Parts: sequence; structure tokens; C-alpha cells
Amino acid sequence: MKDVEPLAMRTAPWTIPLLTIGIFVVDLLTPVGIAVSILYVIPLLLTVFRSKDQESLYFCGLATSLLWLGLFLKPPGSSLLYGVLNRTLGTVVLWILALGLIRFRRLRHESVQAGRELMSERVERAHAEGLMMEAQQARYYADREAVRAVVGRKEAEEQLLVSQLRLESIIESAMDAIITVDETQRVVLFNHAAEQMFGCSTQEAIGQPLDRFLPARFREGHRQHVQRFGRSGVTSRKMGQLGAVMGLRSNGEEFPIEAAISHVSVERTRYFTVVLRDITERKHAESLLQETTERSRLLMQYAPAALAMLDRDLRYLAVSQRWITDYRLEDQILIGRSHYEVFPEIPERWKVVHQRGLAGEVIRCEEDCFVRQDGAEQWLQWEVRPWYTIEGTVGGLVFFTEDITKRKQDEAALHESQRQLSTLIGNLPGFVYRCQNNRNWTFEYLSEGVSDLTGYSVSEYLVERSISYGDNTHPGDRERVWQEIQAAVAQRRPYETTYRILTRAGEVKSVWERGEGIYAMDGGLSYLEGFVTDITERKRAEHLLRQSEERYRRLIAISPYAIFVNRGDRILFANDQAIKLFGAVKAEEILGKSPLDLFHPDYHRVIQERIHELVEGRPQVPMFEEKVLTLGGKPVDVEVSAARFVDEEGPAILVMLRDIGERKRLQEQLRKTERIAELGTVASGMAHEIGTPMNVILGRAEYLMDRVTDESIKKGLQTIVTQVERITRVMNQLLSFARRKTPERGALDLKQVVEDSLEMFHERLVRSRIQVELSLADPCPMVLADADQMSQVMINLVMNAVHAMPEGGTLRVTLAPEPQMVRLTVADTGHGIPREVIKKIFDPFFTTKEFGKGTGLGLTVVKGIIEEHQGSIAVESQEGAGTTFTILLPQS
Amino acid sequence: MAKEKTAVLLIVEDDREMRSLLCDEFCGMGYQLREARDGDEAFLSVLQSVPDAILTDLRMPAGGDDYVSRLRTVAPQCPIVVMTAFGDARLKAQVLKAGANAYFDKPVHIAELKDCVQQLLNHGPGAERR
Repeated sequence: MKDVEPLAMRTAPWTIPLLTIGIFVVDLLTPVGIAVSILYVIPLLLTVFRSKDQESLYFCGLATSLLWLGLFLKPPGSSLLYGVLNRTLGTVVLWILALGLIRFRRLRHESVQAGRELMSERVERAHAEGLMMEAQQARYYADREAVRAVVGRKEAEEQLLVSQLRLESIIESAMDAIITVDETQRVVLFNHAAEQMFGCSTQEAIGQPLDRFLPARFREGHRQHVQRFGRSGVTSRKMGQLGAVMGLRSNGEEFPIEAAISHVSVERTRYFTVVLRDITERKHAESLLQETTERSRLLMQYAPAALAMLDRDLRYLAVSQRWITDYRLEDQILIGRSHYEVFPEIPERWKVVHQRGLAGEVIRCEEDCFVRQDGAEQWLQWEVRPWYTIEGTVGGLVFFTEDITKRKQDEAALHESQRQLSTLIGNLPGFVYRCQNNRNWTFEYLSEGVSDLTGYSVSEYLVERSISYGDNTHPGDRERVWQEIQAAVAQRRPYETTYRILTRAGEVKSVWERGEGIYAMDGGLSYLEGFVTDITERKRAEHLLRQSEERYRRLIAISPYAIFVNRGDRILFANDQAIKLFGAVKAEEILGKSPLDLFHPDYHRVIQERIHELVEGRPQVPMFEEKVLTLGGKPVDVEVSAARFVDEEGPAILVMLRDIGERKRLQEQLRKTERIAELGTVASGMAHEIGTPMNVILGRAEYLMDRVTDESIKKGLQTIVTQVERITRVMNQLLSFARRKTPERGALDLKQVVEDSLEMFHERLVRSRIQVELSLADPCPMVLADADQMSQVMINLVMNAVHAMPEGGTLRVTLAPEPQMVRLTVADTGHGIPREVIKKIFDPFFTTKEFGKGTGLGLTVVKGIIEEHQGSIAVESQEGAGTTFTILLPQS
Repeated sequence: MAKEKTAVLLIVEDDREMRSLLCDEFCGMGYQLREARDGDEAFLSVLQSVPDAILTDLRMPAGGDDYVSRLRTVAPQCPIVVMTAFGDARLKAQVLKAGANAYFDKPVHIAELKDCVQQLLNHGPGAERR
């Protein structure tokens, strides 16, 4: 094809008209029925080799005209219809063919468009070379003819003429400028192309020095160069071997030329023929190409994407910088190496993709994981695209990849964070919201938690709008919440509030809310965002805690125990009882002291041991009797228990103390009382048995006294009588203990009791010269007491007073109301009770009276009776001045 | 005084020495004495003939406050003087309620007893002393 094409191209211009005319003549000569006109197809096909696209169409038009003209010129005859039909068919075939040819030419034209410039260059160069060859061949023939001239001059002259004609036509039609100079470098031949190239006619050029066509700076060099070439013996040098030289047009313009030179000697004259080509266009195209190449190289290299261009064997042709950095290939040479060599870890599935790409498919993938050789995962978005050679075949592949690992990680992180947020919001014991700032708090967004809190679903708030949060707010709190939030919004600060809500079930819940206004760009409030949580339980717990604290606080305050807290050997807290126990007035007096300072030194060792045990972790230590020292240094018997507790400040010890001095005293007294009671019981049993014998003794003694006259006997008998009387008194006292019956208490007028008792002693008091002063409140509240016991109390006290005033004196008895009590005082002006014995006067069998006068039980009985009545008795006495007993008894 | 000398006094006492003492004392006073050793004897004695006065122990066989009531039923007008060893207020109240005219805790001065009996005989029932 390639060989046929130039030949056809050259012959077509004259072949086509000849053929056409021939066919037209044949058509005229043949009968109408024979379809000679179809032969127009041949010249039509030849138009393919013509350079102009439209030529086929023009020819087709011409052929159609000729075809129908032939029909008109011929005599019609019988087969006219047939003739019309076959000509119509022929016309259709011609036109289809013509259109098909145009289409074919256009496709070919497009496919070779990219390389066209170079192609035409190459074609022209080949053409010029061809001309050169022919010129040489022609010269060869000329030479040979010259030799042959001797043999056949005529023939030779003929041949020479033919050859000269041929050469001339070649030279004239050559597209390159051909200039021949003689030894003096004057132009002897200047063809048409040279005229055009240099803008100088042949007439002007002939005889001119060649220098004229060269820029001045090349002239000398060129002359020498041509002479060196002439001496070299080389007959020709091809186009381009001289390198690019510059030509000079007649208008002074310089232009690049490519030159070929040959020299020949004719009749000893040396001629140099140069074939010149204006390569301005080519240079321009070359630089344009270079620029384009450079631009695409830069584009490729610095593209902000990982790009690689590979050939069919997947060897790298070009890569972008990004490709190198993305795949960490900085230390490798890539160009020329195989993709699979660079990435041995490429998975099979990708190799399949590459094969598909090479087969012409474009394959994309949005997300793919590339496990690198070192195990690292690289997430890629890739595209594999084939690239095509100018022949239209796949030249290789272009890879476009983007490392989306970071994006993937970010997406995963974002996804995880969204998931966490949603889980978090989902698990919140409350809900988050976005709402409008109106009294309904119209929600725009709401988390699921709202349904747990209020009992209404999210859709009821957001979709159906059948309930509003404003309705949920407790009516008692609505206005306050509104005001609080408005105030916060006005000041652009977050708000925090606690209020009650009403749930669907009608329950009241306490909630805590925190939120803030979200403001638009123009400063206006867009909406509110915040969080609401249920604090009902917390509120309840707080309330219970407060109650509990209050309870314990009170418990400690009113506790009969002295309580203090010891931390780090310092007393931190002490209740009122403790303050009292240690004899302090203010808590400050003992706070901050070491507990050891407050305990009796005998117990320091054991206390330290107990503290140590507690600090070591024992929860509590058992009750232990110890002695504390008051601030005044007085020892007090106490019972101590202690427990360890831990709070936010660390471990501490809670110490509880009970003053057991009083208890000890009571125990002692009880012991004594019990002894007396036992004695009373014995006495009671004995009473009857000894009563009669005693009466016999007494009676007999008195009987005898009446019958004896001897004074000494009488005195002896009197002693017997006195002693029996004494025994009788003791027995009576004992019996009064033993026979203490359950008092029959009722409202009792003490005034009556007092008066009766004094009446009973009237004679005795008068005899003892004792004045009685009564001061009895009238009316005086009744007391709750037993009449007999009160009489006994009164009798005993009056007897005491009488005994205290053997020389006479004043007995003062007063009765006065006290708050809830009645006070009875019995005072004498007797000898008084010595200080050292005053504590013992209530003890059983203690008596100051002379032998035989007192039983030592009188005041013991009185105290017993008064205490049984929840009353109290106290004594004041001053030696020599008298004694006052003060009794307090509860009112009835 | 002749009338007094003929007054009959019933002494009821289970203790022999005490009875003897009382008899010695009151005999010297010129009363006609009758003796009983327990409640039953006393009751029978009163049934036989009501004395002018009865001086009785309380805590003895067939004694007690019931015994005093029984005596009072058979001898409604007769003064009854009761004495008992280390009695108490309640016993005293019961005895007086049962019909006794006087009550004494032993040991008692015989003189007091004498005074009491004398008064009762002179003035009739009603006198009462501790």
C-alpha cells in the first residue's frame, strides 16, 4: 500500500480525466441497455488519492451529469426504461461510494492528525531525497551517455536531451529550493522553489554570489566549508548533516534552512548543488512540540494526584511526584521498571484489572485497600485507563490513584465519634434538645430520652406537635423558668435551672436543665440548645440525706452521752454533753486538744492501744470503763466506747462517753437499800415472834417495879423497860421498810398532812419549848402522794428537828408552789450537822443522836419515800445555826 | 366501886407467859377474870356468858380479824381491846372495822392497857387509843 500510494497520487491527476472521457465515449457508443456507466466507479475510487476531500463529491457530480447526458444524446429505443433504471442504480451506487469515501478519508485524516506535521515533513524530506537521487541518477545517465557519445553521438544527444528535459522538469517541480553554484560560488541554477524561498527571481539570482543568500555572519564560514567539502572527495552530504543554517531572504528576513550539498565536476569546472529547505515551519512545530511535551511532563510531574503512565508491559514511562510520595518510592528509580517489580505485593485482582485496562476498558474503584509489603494498609481510590498510540492501539495504561487512608481514618473516626455521641445521648438519663425561645419551647430537635422522662414520644413533640414542653412544665414553675431563661438569654450566658415537670402519667418529677442560646450571624437568637435530666431521685436522696443528717445532728445534740470526734490526735467536735462532762463552758475549751489530755493518766496506755486498733482498721472497740479529768482536774468515772469512721478527710474516731459516777452512786445506794429491805423482811417475819416475849419482859419489869421498894432494883427494872422500848423502836423502823406497800398515790393536800403531824407533836413541842412557825401557801396545789407515807415523812422530820433542839428553838415549816412541783421545807434552829457527816445523814443506821435515841433509819426512810414519789430531798445545814430539809414533790 | 370489882374481863392469849402477866396485872385491879387460849375457846366463853370486856390477842389459833367480827356478833355491846405483836396501820384499820374498840401493838405498856380497859368499862364503848 505504501508503495502504491505515492504512485497513485502522482498518476491520479491525469488518469482520472482520461478515464472519465474514455468511459463517456464508450457509454455513447454502447446501446442504452448495457450499464457501462457503472465504470465511472473506477475514476471515482481514484479520487481517494487526491488531496482534497471534496474532490470525490465534485467528481461524483460530474460523473452523474455525464451519465445522464449520455442517455439524452443516444437514440432512446425500446429499452429506455431499463436504461433509466440502470443509470439510476449507477447514480445511487456512485453517490453511496462517494459519501463512503469522504467518510473514510475523514476518519483517516483524524487518526493521523496528531502526527501530521511530522509526517508531512518526513514525506517531503523523502520526496526531496528522492529528487536528489533522481538528479544523481540523471547525472549518472548523463555521464554514461557522455561516454557513450563516442559510440553513438546522435543517440547520445537524443538521450541527453531527454535527460536534460527530465532533469529540468524535476528541478522546476521540486518543492525544495535547488541552487547550483560554480567554483566561484556564483549561482548558475536557481529553481522555482528557490525563487519563492528567497523572494528573488531566477534572472536576478543567476550570476549572483551565493553569499547574498546567507546572513553576513555565516558567509566566511560557509565559503570555507563549501571549499572543504569540495576537497573532501565526498560527493554528497545528506539533508540535515550540515546542521541548521540560516538563510537570508531578499527582504532581509533570516530563516532556518536545512541543506544538502553535492558537488560535481563538469569539464573541469566544479559545480556545487545545494538543496535547501525552509524549516521555519518545522522549527516552529518542533519548538511547539517540545513546549507541549515539557508542559505535559510538568503537568504530570507536579499534578496534585498520584499518576503513573505505563507501557503495555507495565513499565513506567512517567510518574507524578505525588505517586512517589504516596507510595514512598523516593529512593527508587521508577522509569523503565516494571510496575510489578516495584510493587511485588500487588494482588491478583489488580493484575486482572490491568489486563482489562490493556484490553481497552476504563476501570474505577472508589475504595480499595492496598496491603503493603510491610503490612501497612493503604486505602485507595483508583482509576485505570488505557492510553492509545497514534495508530489507535492501546499503548499502555495510565493509573490515577488517590490515597484516601487519611480520609478513611477520618471517616472512621467521625463515624465512631458520631456513634459514641449517639450512644451517649441515647444513654443519658434525660434528653438533649434544640428549641425555639417561646413559652411552648417548641422543639426542633429532641433525643429519645425525652420519652423516659415525660412519657411522651419524640414524634408527639416534633411531628404531631400534640404536646409541648411548656405544657409539661409544672404550672408552679413555668413563669420562673421562663424568666430565668429570658434573663440568661438577654445576657448571653448559659442558663441552669431546676424545676418540676408533669409526666403523661401525672407524676411530678424534678429535673435539672442546662442550656444556652445559639445566635445567628446578625446577633439575633436563633434557638436554644441544652440538656434536661431527671433529678427526682437525687432530690429525694438529698431530702432523705438532709433528714438523716438532721436526725443524727439532733441525736447527737440531745444524746445523754458525751460525744466527741477525734482525728489525728485532735478533738474536732464535741457535743454539749461532752462540754459539760469535761467541765467546760464553751466547745473551744476542748476543741483542738489531744484526747489524752482529757483522760486520767492511769488510762493513757490503754487508750493509746485502743486508738491504735481503730486506726489500724478495727471498726469499733468495746465499752470500757475509764476515768476522764475535767478541765478542773476532777476525775470522773466514765464508760467509753469508740468507733472508727472514714469520710472525705480520712479516718476519724467517734468517741462516746457516759458519766457513770451517778450510776455508781446509785448502785451503791441500791445495795444499801437492798440490805435494809432484807433486814426488814427478816424483822417482819420475826415481829410476831418477838413482840409477845418483849411484851412479857416489859410487862414483868413494870409489874415488879410496882412491887419493889428497893431503888436499885427499881433502877434495874427501869433499864429493862428502856431497852425494850429501844428494841421496839428499831423493830418499828425495820418493819416500816419491810412493810412498805405500793404507795396509793392520789391528789393530796400537804397542808392537811403538815397540820395533822404538828398536832400530833403538839405536847412534845411545847414541852421542848419549841416555837412553831408555819408558812403554808393557801391554796397550795395538791401533790400526787400517799397520805400515810407523807405523814411518816413529816413525823420523821419533825422528830429530827425536835431532837436537834434539846434546848428549844424554832421549827419553821413552809409549803410553797414551784413550777410543777410543791416545795416543803422543815427548818430547825438546832445544833446543825457537821460538814463531814452531812453526806451520810441519809445512809441507813447512821445517827448522830446519843445512844438509844435514834434508830439511824429515819432519814433513810424519808429519802426512800420521797424518791419513790419522783421527788427530791436536799439538806442544808450550818453547824450551830440549824438545818433545813427541802423536799420537792410533783404536783398532781 | 363494888360494881367495878365484879366486872368480868375475858383475857384471850395463846402465850402462857403473856396470859399469866395479864392475869396478874388485871387480877390486882379487882376484875373477875376469865381466860381463853385461842379464838375458839374465847368464842365458846362469850357464848356461855358475855363478859364486861374482852382483852384479846389477834395472832393465835382461830384468831385474826374474822375472829373479832365473830366475837362482835355474839357480844355486840361488849368492849373489845385487841393487841398484836408489831401490827401495822392496815391491820389496825381492819381490826377496828371488824368491831374492836381499841387496838394496841405489842409490846405495850400494861399501864396503858389498864387505862384503856378502865375507861371502856367506865364510859362504855367508843374510846379508842392507839
